[in-house]
Amino acid sequence: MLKSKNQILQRTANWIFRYRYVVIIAWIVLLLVMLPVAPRAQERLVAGGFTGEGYPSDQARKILQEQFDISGANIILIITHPTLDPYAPQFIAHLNDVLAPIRQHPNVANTITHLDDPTLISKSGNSIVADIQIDLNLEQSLKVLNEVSELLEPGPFTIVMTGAPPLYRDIVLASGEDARRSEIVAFPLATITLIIVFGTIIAAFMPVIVGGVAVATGLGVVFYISGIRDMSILSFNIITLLGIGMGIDYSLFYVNRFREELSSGASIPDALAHAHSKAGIAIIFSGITSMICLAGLLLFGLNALDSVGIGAVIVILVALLSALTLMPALLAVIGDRINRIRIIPKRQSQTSIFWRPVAQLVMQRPLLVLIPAVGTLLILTFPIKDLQLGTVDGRVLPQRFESRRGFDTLQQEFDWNITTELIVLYLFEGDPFDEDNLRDLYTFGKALENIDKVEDVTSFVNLRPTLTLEDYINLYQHPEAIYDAETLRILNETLREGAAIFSVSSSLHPFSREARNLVGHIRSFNTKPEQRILVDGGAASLKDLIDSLYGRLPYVIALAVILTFLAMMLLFRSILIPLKAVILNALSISASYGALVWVFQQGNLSSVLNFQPLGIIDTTMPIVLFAVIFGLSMDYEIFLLSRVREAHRNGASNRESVISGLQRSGMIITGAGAILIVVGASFVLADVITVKATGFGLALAIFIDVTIVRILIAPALMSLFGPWNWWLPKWLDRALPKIEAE
Amino acid sequence: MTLINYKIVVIMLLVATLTIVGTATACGQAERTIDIPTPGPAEPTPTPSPLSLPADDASHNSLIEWWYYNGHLKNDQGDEFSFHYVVFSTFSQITNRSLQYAQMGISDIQIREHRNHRSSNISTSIQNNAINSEEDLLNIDLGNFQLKIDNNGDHSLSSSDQTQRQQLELTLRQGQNVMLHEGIGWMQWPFGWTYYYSYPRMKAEGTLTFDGVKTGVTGEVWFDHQWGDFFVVGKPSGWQWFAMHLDNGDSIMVSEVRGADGEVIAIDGTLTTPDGTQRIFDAEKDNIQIQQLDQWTSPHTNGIYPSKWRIILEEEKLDMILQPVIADQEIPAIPIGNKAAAYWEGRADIFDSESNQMIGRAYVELSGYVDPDPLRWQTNSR
Repeated sequence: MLKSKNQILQRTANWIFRYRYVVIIAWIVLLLVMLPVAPRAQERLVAGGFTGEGYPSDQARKILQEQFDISGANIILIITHPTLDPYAPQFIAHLNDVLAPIRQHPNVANTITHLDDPTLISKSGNSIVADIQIDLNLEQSLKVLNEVSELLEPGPFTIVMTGAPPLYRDIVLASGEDARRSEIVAFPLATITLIIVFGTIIAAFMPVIVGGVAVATGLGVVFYISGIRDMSILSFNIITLLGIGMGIDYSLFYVNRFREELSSGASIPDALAHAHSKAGIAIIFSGITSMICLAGLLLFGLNALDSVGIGAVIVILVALLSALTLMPALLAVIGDRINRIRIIPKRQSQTSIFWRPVAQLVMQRPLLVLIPAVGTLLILTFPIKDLQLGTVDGRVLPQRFESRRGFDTLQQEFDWNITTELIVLYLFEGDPFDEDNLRDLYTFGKALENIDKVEDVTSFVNLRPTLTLEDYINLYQHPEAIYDAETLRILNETLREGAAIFSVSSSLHPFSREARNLVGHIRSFNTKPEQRILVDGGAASLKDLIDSLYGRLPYVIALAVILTFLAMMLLFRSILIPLKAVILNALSISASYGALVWVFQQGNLSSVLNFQPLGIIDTTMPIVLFAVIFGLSMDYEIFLLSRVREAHRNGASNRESVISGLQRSGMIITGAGAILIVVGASFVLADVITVKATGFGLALAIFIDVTIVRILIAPALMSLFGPWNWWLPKWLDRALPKIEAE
Repeated sequence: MTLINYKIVVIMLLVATLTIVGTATACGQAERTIDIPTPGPAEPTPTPSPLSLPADDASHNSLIEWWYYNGHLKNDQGDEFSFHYVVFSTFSQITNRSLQYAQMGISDIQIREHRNHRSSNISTSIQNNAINSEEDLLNIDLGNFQLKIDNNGDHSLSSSDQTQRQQLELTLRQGQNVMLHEGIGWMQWPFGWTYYYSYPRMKAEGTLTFDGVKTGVTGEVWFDHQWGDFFVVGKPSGWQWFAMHLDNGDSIMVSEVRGADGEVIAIDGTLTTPDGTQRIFDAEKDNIQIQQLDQWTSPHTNGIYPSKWRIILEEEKLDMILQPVIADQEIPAIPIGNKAAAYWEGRADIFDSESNQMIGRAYVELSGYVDPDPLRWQTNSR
């Protein structure tokens, strides 16, 4: 007998069986609506979205952009002439010819060359930098990048274009190429895996349909959403990944159950009803827990993560709906032809060949399995202590990109080293040369100079250490009359009515904790009520990002863990099993984080995996991986435990129910996991290091989850817990709604 | 499912959410603030160290430094030419780079024609690597300008301009004793401090090509070397500077410096006699007077320059009229920096104001007479 929800699910299955063609046609109609727009979703998606509205650095950046035309979105041209000296009149004449049309572009705020700043000449003396300042933020600047490129006529020069907008564009391009390359590798391998799991072509094809429908519909929905709000390009990747992943997971589980019911002699409607009520409830809970985890990304207030969260929830919802409606409708039509076109010979008790002995072994010697398995995970986790969060730079790109070569040239030839460069904005009222303002600004400039680890402060009141406040008051009676080119540049570029820029340099690495502390120190200075201090720059942006994301992360994790715990408690009527599930998830995620640090931050295996280590892990990566992996791991846990619980409810002992559950779900979990491992591992071939690292992290986490955690640790713990596995206080048992299958 | 079941679930969700929100609020820390400390005194101006010559002819990592020459030359035919030649070097503590550029003006006294040109290259290098060498005290190569000072203190300079078909190549040897201004070769400046010494009468020999005609030349050259941490500020600040070669063999430097508000804040002077005696003028005691007698408006920059002077050195019983040989001897600003940095640098003849007899030749430098543009953002805000 099935209670409440399961009766509803059975009735739903019966309804779908009766109206199977209507359901299929409804999905076809939906697909016909979505398919034309789905491929165009990528066109509407935007790059970036890693700065939160209201971050202190973002406030500074807006003022810098509005008042100083400093957007950070500078296009850098490295201009080389084979023979002419950069100050030769012919060089300057040619340079003016090259830059004149670019200067006319309405979004080009300023163009700085070696004629304004002599440091823009290369060490070898034959190249110069033209720094083209765009008055748009980074995301918007991508829109004018092509226009500026088209205006560029190199003439006698060799010109290499780099800077934030070209690097950003190329990262998006390379990521797209990576995705396509991985699809070419992953799809055949995933198909082979499905065929191995199901043995027949038709059965193997069913998850592909659900996955494909989920991806196409998800992208279609995102296409329409992106017309209303900015959606990050990352949502495209997450929809593809989770659409395939979840679609295949759910349909694997469903189809497997359907075939089991058929093979036990059930009629097609009965097999469908049983599959729907038993696998269906697991799929619903699995989907809900995944959506809870990924919806957690919406709480970070960052457009990139919002987009991932929205895309993920949409695609999981579509995968869930298609698995629970389209899949049964298709199975109702196909019926027992699901087992046609067999590729892999059918073996008796296929699942018992491997999984049962493994489960028996684990249950017999739980501690012998548990200790080395947990030990292995803890060893993998260990490098987390060195985790250094950061943001990516040009080094994520391969050398074949012009922007990457330019990035390297800037470091090698122009000493544009990766150090902490902060733009400190001091806001006040009135003229900066007013004596009271000069006094405040001079005092602040000196305070900056005296901060530990600050090596240099550049501002109009930090010109020379020998100059006193009185000297500056004297000097700035007629500031426009100063001849010195550098001082004049500082006066022109770092001052406005009511605002002054202090450039603070430190050899601290911008991703280091010390650099972020330096930002905090500067922000903590008291000013007069009408004055404000704002800090921008790489370390400041990173501090704001980390403070915001990782300040909220514990609460998002807690919310995801508690809600997942409650959902599993409802489903499995147990305290220990949900607790064990969230702890094991944390363990597998931590182990994959540790491995990520060991490989991608510390550079181990870099030659094997063909990348240049950046020394950092991208700030958002652990969060996205947490949400995705936690959701997927919960899928596997629910699939496993639903079979264990079912056996236990049917009267099996604790030991036998675990063995039976593992035996029945082991192949499915491993198959589903293998497909995602293949998809994740195919990204290891990627050119962009962050894509490579994400794929690696995903593949490794799922590998750990479906092997060490789900096959070894979970059964071993359940063996140790014994009857406590299913302990639930009686009052709670009475109070909780009963939604499980009997 | 009964209603109570749903209530329990809702209560559990509520408790979970409240716990998280409560913890988040409790963990929030009030931001710590720090008062901006009152700054200590600025680094003291370095005590001037005694000059060591010719070693100090080399370059120094100063905010600004220049090697300046002016001279009066005669060619084989007795034709008279005057020139000034200057290499500027600026050093940025911000970028740790030095930057050099050069300018030259030359006047054909016979035909009253003045020409000028600048270095085709502007050299930049880390520290002063490009100009300090092991073999020489100084070796600067700016394409069409070369300046070398060897370890004996002998100078050689050259400059060419293909367009105007002119070239100057000179070797200079020590003549009169070094002139240490303010007695020690160091002085306070309105916006900083500077070392400053001169070789007022170096013996020059070489060749001059003018309009494509090359002839040998000889003459006397005034050399100034100045470096320090000071800012050069233009109108209304600036200066008038006079380097005089009197026919009696005396060499005199007189300068008048204006402060930030345009008021004269210092008048200095130094005299060196042929026997090497040096006298430092005291503006008040010696009652130095510099009177402007005429003015000239530049058609290039609209700068209004003084163009004729009466200079009285009462203690020396000198009352002189300085008359520019050519009115337009303005030197344009270089393409980097302030566009108002044009200056007037030219030959003037010295007359005794009573007898009206010519008693010598001078070079006059006038700085701070061109209106600067406002700062870019000041223009926008206006």
